[in-house]
Amino acid sequence: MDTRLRGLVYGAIGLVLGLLFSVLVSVVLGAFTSLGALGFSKIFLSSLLSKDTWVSALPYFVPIAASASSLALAYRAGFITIGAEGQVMLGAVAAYWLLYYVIGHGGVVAITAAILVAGFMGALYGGLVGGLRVGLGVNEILSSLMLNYIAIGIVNYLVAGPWQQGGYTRTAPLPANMSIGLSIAVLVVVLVGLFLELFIVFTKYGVAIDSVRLARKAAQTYGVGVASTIIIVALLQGFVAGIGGGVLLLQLLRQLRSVGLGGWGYGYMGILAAWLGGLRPLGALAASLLIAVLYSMRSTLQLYGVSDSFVLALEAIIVLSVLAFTTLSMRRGEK
Amino acid sequence: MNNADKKPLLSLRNITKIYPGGVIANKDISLDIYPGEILALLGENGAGKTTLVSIAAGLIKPTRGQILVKGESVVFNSPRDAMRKGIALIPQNPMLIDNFTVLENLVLVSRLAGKRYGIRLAKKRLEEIEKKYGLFVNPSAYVWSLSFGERQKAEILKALLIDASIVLLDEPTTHLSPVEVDKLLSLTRQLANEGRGVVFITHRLSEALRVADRIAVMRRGRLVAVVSRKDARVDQLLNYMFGEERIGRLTEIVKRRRSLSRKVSKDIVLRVDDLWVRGPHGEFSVRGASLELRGAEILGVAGIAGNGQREFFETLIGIRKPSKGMISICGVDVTSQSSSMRGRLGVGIIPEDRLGWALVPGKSLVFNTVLGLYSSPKAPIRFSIVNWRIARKIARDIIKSLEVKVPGPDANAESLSGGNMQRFIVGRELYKAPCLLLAMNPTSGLDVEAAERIRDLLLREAVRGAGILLVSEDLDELVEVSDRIVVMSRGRIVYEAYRPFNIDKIAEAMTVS
Repeated sequence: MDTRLRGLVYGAIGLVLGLLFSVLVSVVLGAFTSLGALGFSKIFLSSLLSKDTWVSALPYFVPIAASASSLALAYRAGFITIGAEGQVMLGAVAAYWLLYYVIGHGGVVAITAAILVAGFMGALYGGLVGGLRVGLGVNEILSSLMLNYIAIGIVNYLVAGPWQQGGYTRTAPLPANMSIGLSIAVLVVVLVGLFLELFIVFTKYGVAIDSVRLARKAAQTYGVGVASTIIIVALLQGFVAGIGGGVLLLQLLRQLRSVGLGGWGYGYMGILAAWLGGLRPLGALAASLLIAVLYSMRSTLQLYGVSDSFVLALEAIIVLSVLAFTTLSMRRGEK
Repeated sequence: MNNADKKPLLSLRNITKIYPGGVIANKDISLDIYPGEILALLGENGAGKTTLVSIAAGLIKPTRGQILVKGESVVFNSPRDAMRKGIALIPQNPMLIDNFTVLENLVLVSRLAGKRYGIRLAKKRLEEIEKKYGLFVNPSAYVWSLSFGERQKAEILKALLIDASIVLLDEPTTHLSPVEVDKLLSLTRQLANEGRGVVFITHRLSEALRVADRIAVMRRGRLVAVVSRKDARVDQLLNYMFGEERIGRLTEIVKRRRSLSRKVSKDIVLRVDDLWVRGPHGEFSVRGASLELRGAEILGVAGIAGNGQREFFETLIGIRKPSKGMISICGVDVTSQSSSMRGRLGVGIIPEDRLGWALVPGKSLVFNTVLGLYSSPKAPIRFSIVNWRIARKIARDIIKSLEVKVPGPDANAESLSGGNMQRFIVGRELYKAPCLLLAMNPTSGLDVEAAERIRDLLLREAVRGAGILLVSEDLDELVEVSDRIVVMSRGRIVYEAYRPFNIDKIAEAMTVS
C-alpha cells in the first residue's frame, strides 16, 4: 500500500478506536453521576447528536480552529509555541481599537481592515516569540507563555482603564453594524486553514518547514534558512491566530471584558486540536470542531445536573483517547 | 623493561567480541598489562581498540574470553565491577554528568568504586592529588562549564581518586593542544612510575613511540603484534597497522591509476585560504588550512577521524562559520555566505551521514529531491511554488539512471538500503551538474560493490569537469580516485602528495603529527 494511503487508513482506524474507547470510558464514569451509567449515556449521546449542540459549537470553533491550524504549522517546523492564546486576545484588542476608536463605523472595508489588523497584531506577537528564539535562543514555550500573561494584562488594563465603559471592567459593545455573522466567521477560518494547508503542500516553505523539524542539518546543508523559516512560521502562526481573535470579537464577543489568568482558553484548546489533527491545518480544523462540540455540550449536560468539572474531565479523556489511539495506530502502520 | 619476572596486573585471554549483526570487533585477543609499564594500543579507526578497553573496563561484555585481574579471573557486569577491581577508563569523550559539579561527579564515582568518600574527604584527596601531580580542576565548577581539556582532567582525577591500579586512556590526546599533550604524556609516565599499569590507546605512531614501553598493534579486530619500544621500527609498525598486503595493494593501485590521470582544468573551483574553524568545544579544530582545487580534479583529504576534517567539511558546505580565513567557490567569495549561496553556485554536497544529513527520514524520495535541489537553479520550484510533478519526474530519472532499488519515487527514504540511499544521494547531487562536488566519507558502511559504484560515479563526474573534494578516512579510496591528496592532522594540512603517491609517507603524515 502507498505510504501516504497507509498513514491515512491507520490514522482513521485510530480515530474510530479512540472515539469508541472514550465512549466506553464515558459510560463507565457516567455511573458515578446522579443519572447513572445508562441515563448519562443517553443524555451524552443525544446531546452529541443534537443539531443545536453543533450549531452552538460553531462560535467556539472559530477561535479554536484559527489557533489550531496556525499551531499545526508552527509545530510542523518544530517551533513549539503556546502563544496562540495571547495572539487571539491581542487580535481582538487590535480589531476593537481599529473599528471602535479609529474607523467608527461598519461596512465590508472596515471589517476586513479590522480582521487584517488583528492578524498583523498576532503576527507581531508571534514574530516576537520567533525573534527571541532565533536571536537569543529563548525557548519559545516559555516566551510565548509569558507573552500570553502580558496579553491578559493588556486586556485587563484596557477594560479597567482607558477603554472602560459603564462602571464595569469591560468595553462598550460594538454596534451591530460592526459585527459579522457566524457563517462568515466560520468561512474566514476555514479559508485560512485551507490556505495554510496549501502553503504547506505546495510552496517550498512546506519543504523547509518539514526538513527543519525532521532533519535540521539536512535543511541547513541544502540551503534552507533555519532562522528565516522559524521567523516566517512564527509570523504566519501569529497572523492566523490574530485573525481568529479578530473574528471572535466581531462575531461572538463584541466587547472586551476582564480576563482571568487562564485567558479565554481558545489558544490552549488549539494546542490540543493541532496535535489531534496530525499537525495538518485541515486536520486541525476537524479536531477543533470536535473540541468545540465537546465544549458546547458542557452547558447541555450541566442542565441535567452533571457538574462542569466532570464534563471537563470527560472532554480531556476523549481528546487523550483519540490522540493516543491515533498515534499508536499510525506507529503500527509505519512498521 | 623486562616483564618476565613480574606478574601481570591485567590479563585478557582470548577475548572475542561479536556485535549484533555479526561485526567482529575483537577476535581472540590475549594481552597482559604489567605494573609500571605503559602499553600503547596502536591501530587505525575501527581496528577494535576502544572495544577491547571497553571490555576491560566493564562497559561491554565480551562474547568469549576471560579477564584476569592480578591473576584472579573476574566477570564484569558493569563498569562498577571493574572500578572495584581498580580499573579506570578515561574515555575519548568524557563521561561526566553535566549538571553536577566536578566534586559531585568525583564523589559519585568514588562511591561506585566502593570508596565512599564524602564531599569533605574527596576535597581533601583532591588537594593531595593537586600537590602530587599538579592536576587541578575547580571542584565546584559545573561540568557543563568546563572546556574539553578540563573535562578530561576531571576524568583523570576520577582514576586517581579511586586509586586505580590499571588506567586505560582511550585516544586521550585527540582534542588537546600540543602543550596539553606534553603534560598528559608526562603525567602518564608518572602514573606508570608509581607502579600502575597504563594502557594508552592511540592511532598516532609518534605518540606511541614517545610514551610507550611496549606497543601492541591492532588491525581489523585482531592483535597483530606486540613489540617493545626499543625494538620498534616505524616501517614495521606501519606494516602492522595497515597490513603489508594492503600497503602493497595500494601501491599497485597507484601504479594502475597513473595512466588514468585526467586533464585538470586551469579554472580554480575552490580556493581555501588560511581557514580557522572552532570545534564543538570551542577549541580550534581547523588551524590555518589552505588549498586550491581545479575543475576535473579530485582532491583527497586524508586523515584519521577527529583531526578537523568534519569541521573543515562543514565549513566548506556553509553550515559552520569560520573564525578566520577565506573560502571562494567558482570565483565567488562565500566565506560568510550560507549553504544557500553554495546551492545557487551549483555545488553538490554528499555528507557523511546519509539519513538525517543528506536525506530527511520519514519523507519520500520526491520530497528529498526537492530538498536537495532547494537552492539550486535546477530546483523544480518557481516563484516559491513546488512543481511536484516535475520533482517526481526528476526523482524517477535519478532512480532509473543510477539503478536505485526502490519501489518508486514515493518510497520513504528510510526504507532504502545504505547503498541505494547513497546512490540516490549521489544521483541527486550529480543532477545539479555541479562545478564543485564536496563529499565526505561517501562510501563508509557500504559493501565493496556499492562503494566501487559510488567511486565510479565520482570519477565520471570529474571527467565531466567537476572539481571534487573528497574527505575520506579510507586511504585506499583516496589513493584510488584522487589526483592529489592532502593530509589533515590536528586541524592543519601537514602534507600534500601528488601522483604517484608514496603511501608510506601519507600514512606517516596521518599518524605522526
